[in-house]
Amino acid sequence: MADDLTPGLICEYEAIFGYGDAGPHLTGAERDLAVRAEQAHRDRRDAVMTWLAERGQEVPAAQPAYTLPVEPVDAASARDLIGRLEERCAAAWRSVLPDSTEEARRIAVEALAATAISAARWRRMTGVTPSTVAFPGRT
Amino acid sequence: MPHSQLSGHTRRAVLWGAGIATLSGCGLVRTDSTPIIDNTGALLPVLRTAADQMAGLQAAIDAGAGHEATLEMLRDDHAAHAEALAKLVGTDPPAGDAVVGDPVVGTLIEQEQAGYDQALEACVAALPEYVVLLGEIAACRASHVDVLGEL
Repeated sequence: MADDLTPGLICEYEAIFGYGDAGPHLTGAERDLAVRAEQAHRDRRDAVMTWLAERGQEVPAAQPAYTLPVEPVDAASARDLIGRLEERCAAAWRSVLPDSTEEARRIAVEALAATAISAARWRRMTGVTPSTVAFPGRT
Repeated sequence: MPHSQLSGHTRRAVLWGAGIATLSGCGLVRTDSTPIIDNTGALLPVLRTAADQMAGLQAAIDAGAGHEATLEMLRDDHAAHAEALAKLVGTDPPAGDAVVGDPVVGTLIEQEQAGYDQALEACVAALPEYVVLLGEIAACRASHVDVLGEL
């Protein structure tokens, strides 16, 4: 289906769930960054849900729980989880692009850019170099 | 070398040759080895911007602007974009025009922001075959704005 933003929306659900699990293991600047990043995912989720609803498209419901790629048990695993979640979101929004047009495509590109920014911030925060990638969303 | 081993090599060589000859006659191999060339002109401005930003970052590094590792990282991203775009345009990556403004970082931020806006609009207007690459480039340039903003 053209202009189907649901893969991106589903990844936003997963990211919000994951940040909720990771956040309690973080402190200081890392916790502040996690709070801001989670809010950005929530804002994007709300915007996409509204966009879909306004066009009469089905809005998938969030699941009560998600199987995360890493189970956060300490700060290191929490950081690992967040990095993976941001990369999964980037891949999801990238996957939306080919079948999108006009406004839906703009939403997807802006979401891809936002996740690229967030992923790069986490890499800088954790000392991973290079912190940017030339082609965000590629796996 | 035992005769039987030599015969085995010969048989395998014949089979390889037959396989390659068969594949080269079909559309799959030909399609994979033939680059898609953009005839719309949509990619050329984005390519020129990538080359200009690459040149500008190199000039800033050469001028001793500081933050060398970060500027090199950004330059390398633009180089990767220029290489990918040049393949689709059917040309070599251009040299680019270097502009080192004052203040250096502030100018670079403005250039990256303009580059993001350009790639975003190009992506929204692009043919489907170029949408993903242009979206990736836009996202990368957005991340550069953020990186430079923290310097």
